[in-house]
Amino acid sequence: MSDKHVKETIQQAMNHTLCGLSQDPFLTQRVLWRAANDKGEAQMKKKISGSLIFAFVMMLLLAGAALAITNWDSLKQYFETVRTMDTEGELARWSDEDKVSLLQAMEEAGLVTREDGRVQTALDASLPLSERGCAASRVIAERYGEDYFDSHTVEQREFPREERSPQEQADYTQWDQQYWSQWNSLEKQPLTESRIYRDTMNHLTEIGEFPRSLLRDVQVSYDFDEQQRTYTVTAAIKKELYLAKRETGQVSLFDPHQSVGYESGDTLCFQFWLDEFGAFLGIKNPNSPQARARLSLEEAQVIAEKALKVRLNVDQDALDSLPLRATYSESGEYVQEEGRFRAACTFIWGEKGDTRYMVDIDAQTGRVIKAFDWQASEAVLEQSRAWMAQLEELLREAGVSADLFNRQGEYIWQWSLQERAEWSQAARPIVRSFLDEHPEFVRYLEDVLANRYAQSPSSWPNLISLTQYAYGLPDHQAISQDKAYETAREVALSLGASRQYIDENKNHVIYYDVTDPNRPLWKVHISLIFGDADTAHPREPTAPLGYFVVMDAHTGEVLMVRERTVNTGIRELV
Amino acid sequence: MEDAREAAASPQERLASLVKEHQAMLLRVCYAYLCDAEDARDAVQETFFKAYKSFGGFRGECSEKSWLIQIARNTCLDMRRSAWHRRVDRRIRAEDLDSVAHPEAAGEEKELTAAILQLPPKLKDAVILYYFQGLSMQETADILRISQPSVSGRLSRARKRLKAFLEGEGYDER
Repeated sequence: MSDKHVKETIQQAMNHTLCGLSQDPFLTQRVLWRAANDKGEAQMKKKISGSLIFAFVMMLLLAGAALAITNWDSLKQYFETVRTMDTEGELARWSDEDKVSLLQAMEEAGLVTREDGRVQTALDASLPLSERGCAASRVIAERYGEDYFDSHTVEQREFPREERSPQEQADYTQWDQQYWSQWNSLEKQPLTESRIYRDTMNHLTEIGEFPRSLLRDVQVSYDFDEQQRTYTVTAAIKKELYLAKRETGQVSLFDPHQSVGYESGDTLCFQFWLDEFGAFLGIKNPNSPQARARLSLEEAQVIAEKALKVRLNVDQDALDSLPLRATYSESGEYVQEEGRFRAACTFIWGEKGDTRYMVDIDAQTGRVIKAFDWQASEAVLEQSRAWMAQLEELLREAGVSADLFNRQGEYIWQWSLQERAEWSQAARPIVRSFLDEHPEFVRYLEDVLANRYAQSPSSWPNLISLTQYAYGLPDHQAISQDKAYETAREVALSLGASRQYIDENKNHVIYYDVTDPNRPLWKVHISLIFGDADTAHPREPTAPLGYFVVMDAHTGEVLMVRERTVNTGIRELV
Repeated sequence: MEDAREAAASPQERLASLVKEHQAMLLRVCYAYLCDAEDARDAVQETFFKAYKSFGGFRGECSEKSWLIQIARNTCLDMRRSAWHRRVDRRIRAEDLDSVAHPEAAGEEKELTAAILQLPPKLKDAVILYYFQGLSMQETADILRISQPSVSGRLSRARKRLKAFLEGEGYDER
């Protein structure tokens, strides 16, 4: 196969494989809109690349350098060593061994001498490695800077292209070609321990953010899987040490609440894979659905098939006649207390692009999360669209919007009592009357909530739930909103809720329920949930999500308290 | 003629023309770097935005395609660094490509694509620019800021890695 043929093969394969990426028909407009709204001050700070800084440092060094070594023969060996070491990255990430090795090579090439006390220290094998590494680091940083550099930049620094004579350039090119031809002829490049170490450091500082002063405290270990030909590398650091130095807002691969870090005793760890030649394969996610699953796909499949038979009367022959795809996935069920979606075993029967049946099984318990017939779902969805259009039209005619956002863009939770009362007064009679006339629509919405259909028009079940009760404004006999909140807060505190978490939460919701005008109710939801990104309020896995307190609006008597441990949706919060 | 037409076009018209001509190509390039369709779309938008803002700075020293690819590549590299969490477990398998593949795409084509996406970054870079996008050796070297022999070396290493997928007719090292 010629080079031209390789090009054609790759182009055809990649174009064919990636042509399904859908284009944005409004891309031009989006870009123009952004440009029109870009005043300049919001522009990202221009990041100066490592190589630019390096080039600048190099220029300064060159300008001041009285002695430029351009003797090609003396440098060849040095360059080869540098390339073999796979020199790259920021110096701070290098191991002490690598720093000392590089300095050794510099000395052999005559670039530094032991007259420099730091070189003497670095190359003195009787001294502790950390001391030698520190000395080597200072010399290397002085010569090449602390920013990113690799063999190419080292070669440019020591043997600038513009200063080479034609003969030197020819020698360099010949050597470069020879080097690559030798490199390519090697069947495989065994992975060295220092290379694994450096890869780990690169991940820490390139992919995540990590205090550089702690790089030396990271312990690296690895296992090689003979069958998979894959290294699993584990990086670990003492939890106490890391937390003490961690800067606010810094996100590191070690953070256990991120998806990759995990705790093991008193250490924090993360793992990644390398292939046998050192190519990065990915970071192991201990929280992936597969890692969390207790059921194998085979075990879950039995449950999925049974669910289809019992719920939808699908016989085994029908399933066997269709292609099946099985995989671990994140289900659509969000588990508040875990702060993530439930792990599921997903089974899809049907041709690609023409799914017939789909089942999600809880990968830990084997519970059927959803099971539906896609074709039936689509038929019902068509009908439901007609219902929704009719109801929307009725609401619009009455001057009410069917979406639950006010003019400030706030969802109904954040509305004032006044806003909610006005909306309830206008929308509720229309919705209730429509539901009375269309019981099949009610059933459909119930089924949607029970995950019996593939498609879920999410705001509609919420709208219906919110019209279950009438909301109004407190009458003169009612206790005040502040008093109602204070009562609910006291209830939550008496049940063990954190005072700090209650007082710092902005997501409490208060309703004034006038469904029974003779006995109005204050309904207060005390929320203990903060956003995932809110590191100041980490989620306690065993703590409740909040408390729902209902009280008589006139007397303040607490009629019901519900501790919320599972998020069962909007219906229990109205 | 082409230059005269471009000079006469307004920046908005020029952008529209660039988007029409290069959006699909850039989406694939960005996907190849980022292995995620949504990230790729973001990167393409960012690329055209940067291009639009620097129309004045484009001096025509390289082709428009090469210029855009260079911007897209830098954008993707930045995104890969900053959006670190999105890189978690980015191992692409052939079946992962089903969502973006042509229904007629053969299994071998998907496997070859997956193998390319799994190459070490430096090798993947060279393959995307030279083989996939058909840039010349010089253009590839300029974008990667390395010498032509280095590009050649990387391509050779990449071919070795991809040997099993290209092997249908036996690769002839020439």
